[in-house]
Amino acid sequence: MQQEPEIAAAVAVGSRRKGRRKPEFLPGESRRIGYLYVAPAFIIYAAFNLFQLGQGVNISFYEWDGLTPGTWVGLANYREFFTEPAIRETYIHVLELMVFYALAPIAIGLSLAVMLSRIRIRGLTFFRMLLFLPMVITDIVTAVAWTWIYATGGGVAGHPEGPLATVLKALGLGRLVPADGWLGNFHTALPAVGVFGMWGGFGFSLILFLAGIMKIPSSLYEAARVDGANVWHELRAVTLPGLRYELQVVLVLSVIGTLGTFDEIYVLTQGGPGTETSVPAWQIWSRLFNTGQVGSAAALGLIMMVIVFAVTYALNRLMERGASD
Amino acid sequence: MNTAASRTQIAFNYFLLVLVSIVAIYPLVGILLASFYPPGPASAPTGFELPPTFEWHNYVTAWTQGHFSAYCTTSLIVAVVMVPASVVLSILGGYAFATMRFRGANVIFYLFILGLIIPTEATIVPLYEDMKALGLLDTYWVLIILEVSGEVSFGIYWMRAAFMSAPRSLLEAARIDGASSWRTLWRIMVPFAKPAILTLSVLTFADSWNEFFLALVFTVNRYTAPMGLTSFASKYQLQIALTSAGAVIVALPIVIVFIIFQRDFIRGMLTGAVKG
Amino acid sequence: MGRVVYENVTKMFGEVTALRDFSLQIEDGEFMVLVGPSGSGKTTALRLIAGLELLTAGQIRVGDRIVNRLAPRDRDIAMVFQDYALYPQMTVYQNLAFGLKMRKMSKDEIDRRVRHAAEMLDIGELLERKPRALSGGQRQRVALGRALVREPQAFLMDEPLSNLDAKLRVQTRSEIKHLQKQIGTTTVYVTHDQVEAMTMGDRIAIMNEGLLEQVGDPRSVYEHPANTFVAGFIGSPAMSFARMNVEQGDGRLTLSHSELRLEVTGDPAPLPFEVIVGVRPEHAWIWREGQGLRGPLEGRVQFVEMLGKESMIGVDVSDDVTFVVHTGADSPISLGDRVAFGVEPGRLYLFDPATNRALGVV
Repeated sequence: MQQEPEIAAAVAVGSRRKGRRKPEFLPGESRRIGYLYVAPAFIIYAAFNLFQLGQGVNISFYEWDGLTPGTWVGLANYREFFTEPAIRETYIHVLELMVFYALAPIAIGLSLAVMLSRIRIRGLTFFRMLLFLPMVITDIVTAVAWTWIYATGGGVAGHPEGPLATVLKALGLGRLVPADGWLGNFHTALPAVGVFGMWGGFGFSLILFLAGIMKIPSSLYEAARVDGANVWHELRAVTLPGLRYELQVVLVLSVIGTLGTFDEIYVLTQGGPGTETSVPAWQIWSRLFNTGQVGSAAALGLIMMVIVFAVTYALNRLMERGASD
Repeated sequence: MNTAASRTQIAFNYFLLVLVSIVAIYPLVGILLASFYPPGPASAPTGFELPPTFEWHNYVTAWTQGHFSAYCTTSLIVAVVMVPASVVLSILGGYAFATMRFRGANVIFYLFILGLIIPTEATIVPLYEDMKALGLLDTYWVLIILEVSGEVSFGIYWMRAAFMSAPRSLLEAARIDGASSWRTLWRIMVPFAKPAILTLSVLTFADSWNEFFLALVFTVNRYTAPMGLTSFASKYQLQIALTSAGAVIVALPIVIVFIIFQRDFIRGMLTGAVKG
Repeated sequence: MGRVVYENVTKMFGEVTALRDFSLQIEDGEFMVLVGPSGSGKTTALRLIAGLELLTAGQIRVGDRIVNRLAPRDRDIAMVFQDYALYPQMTVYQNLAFGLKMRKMSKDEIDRRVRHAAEMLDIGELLERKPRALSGGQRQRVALGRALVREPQAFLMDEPLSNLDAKLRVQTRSEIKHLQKQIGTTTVYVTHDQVEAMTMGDRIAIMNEGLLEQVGDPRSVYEHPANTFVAGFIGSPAMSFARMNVEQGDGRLTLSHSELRLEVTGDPAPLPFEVIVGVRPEHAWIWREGQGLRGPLEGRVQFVEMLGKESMIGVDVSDDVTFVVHTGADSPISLGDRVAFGVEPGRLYLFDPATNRALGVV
């Protein structure tokens, strides 16, 4: 399932600006046929998406294990968000992950794009294909690949050492390799997941920015040069403003995407060690299946939705304000 | 933005490009190579050597004894039903929003847009209970239905945009020619929007094939490909070569689709911005 | 009976009135041109006949049937669009046949009509091609063909020539006119180009801001414009206007403006104290004695436009009043010169400054 909140925001903004007229009917035009066309999609969507929102609210007011009848607890499940550290922890973790999942790819992608845009690149299609692969292949597969990279041997018999450990040891930096592996070590687990995300996202960000820079008319750069701008001025005056749309897209996508991180947690760490890499989606799944806290899981899901809405809104407002500067 | 660049600058840039490309595909190449190692914990890949022998047999093992054939079949069945269904529903809905006037059209459209922001996590709990009650757990249908209901929001947005880009006079000429809305859609608008439909289909297929969370929640035995991979990986932790072979099998269809439809795929991702 | 009639038609888009109490009778077989600047409502008027818009008030008849509430397909009309609107994925043949197929015509009948139209328009060899493989002029003919095969009671054409280059436009203009005469179907043709209107129309309807300014055959509209708008719109280069004071008496009329004086014999009906005087460049000549011209009027040359067989001289007579005057091609006149000019008798158009309506000619 996708989360494309920036599209939603763009649509909302766009139609607000145009000032939609009331629909006018044309001679001979059926007034109802539109409903027929929309009905199939809407029925499925409403019955398996919208309807569940209401249901979720209902379930969230109960303490329920999914098997025996539940007990009404009112807003207790929601209060937990403020009282239970385990829940708040998950959001702190995603915040940390955002540095790797959002900020880093943007920074890397942007700087690389700026550097690479200075020349004409032959075979860009080929490189583009390679750089997009991490995003195209399911993150289950890529996460499995990274478990192998992060493997550190030792302990379990026959468990091989992955390339990262091998390289570091070869460089004499063996002490950087944690005994319980990067994914098993309390300090390195979350950053290790972060690096995975960084690797997964930078290619997309790079290509997006590169395409965006190509679209900036060279006359703007020429004008800047005539005005005596150096590289930094160019960046601030021409490049960054020209990439506003792309920045917005990548930022919103990656931030919202990070909030919903699940697949890689499942493969790499299962939320561990302990709860070091627990994230909101993981909490929800865990409470639904492992600890029988179905009501709480429903509440957490709705809270997550509200947070996604709020972050989307905030980000879009931020970007719009930046645009009007 | 092409300035006259020196030879060293050009060389450096290509070097950079090659470097990042290697970084991007290194893990993927790694498991590809690992999949050819002899199975079993004894001879394990280190990530820098070519496998001593090319054990193509690993793939057969993964496919049969590893049950990846079953996993892939499940994913395929789900995708083959889900993609046409979702795309057709999106075409119908997008067409209506783009060309027709009806009361409340705006409201209904925004309800669909809402679906773009509602995270799966918000509805997963009630969905699970509903599906349990409907007896649909662990079937193809539950995945098909839920993936479709999750895709139509984007699909309708996408097709509406595609149809709105058609010149109004085309629709008017069809009206004057006496074509019904149905005929106009399938004879004129769909051929016009073929590239957009192709892109949507490719993206939808990718989403379906790569879907994990839903499969995890709703299936018990009827595993899809990604689920089968995680199950295999955790069960056979020491079988790195075989796991890698399974991973390649799971990744292969989407990579092939991507290579063939690269242009549409990327265009769709850049404009529609879908998370892979 | 292929008459098209507008009866007090009003069309509003929200707050904006596009067409105001518009009444017009188009006779069977007539080639009627709706002409006016953009925003004049001419395209709206056309689309109302087609049924692409719903009128706000009034009636429209096609062939004596009221069509207000009928869908386009039931109105027995065919339309040629400005951008041709050819179905991109169909061949020319399929494009032409589409409307007939929708009306469940027999294959033979469709084939007959398509081939007949293709022959008339000389596109027989293009039948298997797709629109993207055609030139602009060819596409235009296919668009015409699509309308022809329908054999409707009226053709509606929305600026069909504006996407063609100038030369092709002139050529196609006469082809369309010729074709229409051949077939004899009522045609309503919209354009913003008054030359097109004048050369093609049996009658022209000049429109401005949703109102019908005047309707008539080209000659009468040219010779007897009803108001300043029509006078200034029809004819190229446009008529020159100037406000002038009137002194009337004893069979003499004196028009004056600052230092200008024009004395005219004749006895027009009583005029207001001020009139707007209009003179067409083709009726204003650089002064020469013995030509029977009225004048002379004097002024300074503001611009000179050489048009080949003649030159147009813009003469600034006083505080921003400019008359455009014409003369032969070998004129030695240049910028800044002081010149005198005169007007042919009977070619001074007088308009009421309050209503802009025509008062008469002297």
